[in-house]
Amino acid sequence: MKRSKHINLDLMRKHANPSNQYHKKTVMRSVALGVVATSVAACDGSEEVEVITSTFDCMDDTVLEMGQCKAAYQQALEESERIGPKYRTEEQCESEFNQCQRNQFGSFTPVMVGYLFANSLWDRNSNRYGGSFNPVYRYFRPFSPLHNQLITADGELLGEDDDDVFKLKKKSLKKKKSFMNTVSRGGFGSVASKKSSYSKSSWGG
Amino acid sequence: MLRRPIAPRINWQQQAIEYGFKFHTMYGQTYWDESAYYQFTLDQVERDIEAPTEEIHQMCLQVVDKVVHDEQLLRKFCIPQHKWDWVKASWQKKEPSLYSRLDLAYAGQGHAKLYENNADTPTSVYETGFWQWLWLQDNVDGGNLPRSSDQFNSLQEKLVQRFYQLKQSQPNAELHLSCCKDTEEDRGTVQYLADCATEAGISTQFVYIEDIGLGSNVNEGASKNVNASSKLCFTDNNNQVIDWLFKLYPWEFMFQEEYHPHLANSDCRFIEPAWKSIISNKALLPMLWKLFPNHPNLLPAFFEDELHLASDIPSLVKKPIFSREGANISIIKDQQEITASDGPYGEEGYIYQATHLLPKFFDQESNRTNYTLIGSWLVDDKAAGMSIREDTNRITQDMSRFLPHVIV
Repeated sequence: MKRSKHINLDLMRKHANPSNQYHKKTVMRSVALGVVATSVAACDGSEEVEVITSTFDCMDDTVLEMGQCKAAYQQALEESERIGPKYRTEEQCESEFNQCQRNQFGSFTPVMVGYLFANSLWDRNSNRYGGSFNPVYRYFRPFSPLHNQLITADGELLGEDDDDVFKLKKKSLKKKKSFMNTVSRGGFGSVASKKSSYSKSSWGG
Repeated sequence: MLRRPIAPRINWQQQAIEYGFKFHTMYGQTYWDESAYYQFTLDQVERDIEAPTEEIHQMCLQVVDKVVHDEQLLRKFCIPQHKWDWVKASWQKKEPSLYSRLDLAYAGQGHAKLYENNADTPTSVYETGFWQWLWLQDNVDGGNLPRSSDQFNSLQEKLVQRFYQLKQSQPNAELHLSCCKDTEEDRGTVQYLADCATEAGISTQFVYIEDIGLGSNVNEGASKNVNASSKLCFTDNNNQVIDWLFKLYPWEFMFQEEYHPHLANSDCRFIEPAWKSIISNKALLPMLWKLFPNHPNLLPAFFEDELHLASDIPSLVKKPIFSREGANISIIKDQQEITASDGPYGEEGYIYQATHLLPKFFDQESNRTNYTLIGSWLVDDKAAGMSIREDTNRITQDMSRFLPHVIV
């Protein structure tokens, strides 16, 4: 056969076809399934999480061995560099966190106090972690209601005591997307707009 | 290779709504045309289209390898000097390609001849990979075509497999897909590729080319003095960093636009990779002819400063180096230049290719003669399918009709 053996038509379909009962049923069924799936996820979606503050802490409190603990710490540092809060000046950073450091881009990021770890996401067979070692910081602005709270890079509050076990949604343990301040827009597309009086339908070919 | 009339499926327009195929008719003209189909033998497809397609692709890769190492050639290919290192690096790092489409002139016998390579921003991928596949399925199911009918079209299957491979090297990466505003066709094309990526388990986002922003790594919105040397990232409408971008937008445009200095500085990876700018370029054609003279699938082709070598060729087609969708093509015969299509290209220079007209197929119903072009698809380096475009004009352009095909 020289053609695709199978194409997932449900994925390709953008609108239900009202004149086609079979399709209508399929769509209804998948909506119903979706609802069930969501509610299961809501019951089952939180994990017991610890904040790991050192390699010793990691070896004591988790299933990881020393080498794995060191690697986890390293990855958390990289994540902190990537997704941690960033400030132009050290003063700005230290007005919110008591200790900050300059990163490779010349801006300032708070020093992480540890990273999140859930034993349940560690796969002993493959020695792989099914989440991300997301960094945790301690918020320090005086008189703020958040003073002394543990906080993740995207602002999720954990609590004060890093020895506690926290319950977090699985989402919080996943790798975070990076966001940045967009300083300008519209730097692509100008050539097309100059030529647009000619193109009827496409910038492809 | 035959052109055969067939009754359009009664419900196809309804089905187009259901599957979100919005550009089957554009500006009141038919684009998707299922009033006829082209019929091929398996031999014609495998011997004359599939095998040469993979061979031509390998020849094109040899052109890339030659050009990236030669400043004079980079100049001839109109790659701006400030992008030479970056284009070369993308080739040396073997940045992966997704897909290409070769345009071939083929009449059912003899050698298919390469017109050009759409290696950077090929369109009509949805119509090929999905819509004509569905057409065949429906017509076989409805008893209008024999059960044994096949199609040279594993495009969707191969795209999904390719996305799956690309995912393995970066399991968590999210893919942004992008095209220009105000074009239903491009938006549909990009949506299709997003669907294929989703099928492969990749999470996707969409951003218009014009909306792409520059993100600074610093809080408090302070970085007003953006300069080319600072480390910046491309961002989408939600200020999310774009790590991996499919752009249905030509490299040669991006190379001259405001954000071009940040292409090399950002960590963003691109589909298609930057080295594709060399083979989506019409300068490819004279270069292929130089490296593989008299290859049966090539037409003689020349750079502007080599026209003396073309003195014994009776008629030449003059193509701008960056032309798309058949724009700004003219035919030169007896030292007379006849403009055959207008458009916005040409200031970058031209190449010349020996004239080899498309085969003609007569349509009795409309009493029209059609010129027929074959698009032969590649996913990475594998031939993956075929599309047919037809026009009453000798030059295939963006409004030329798309017709399905079968192998019998």
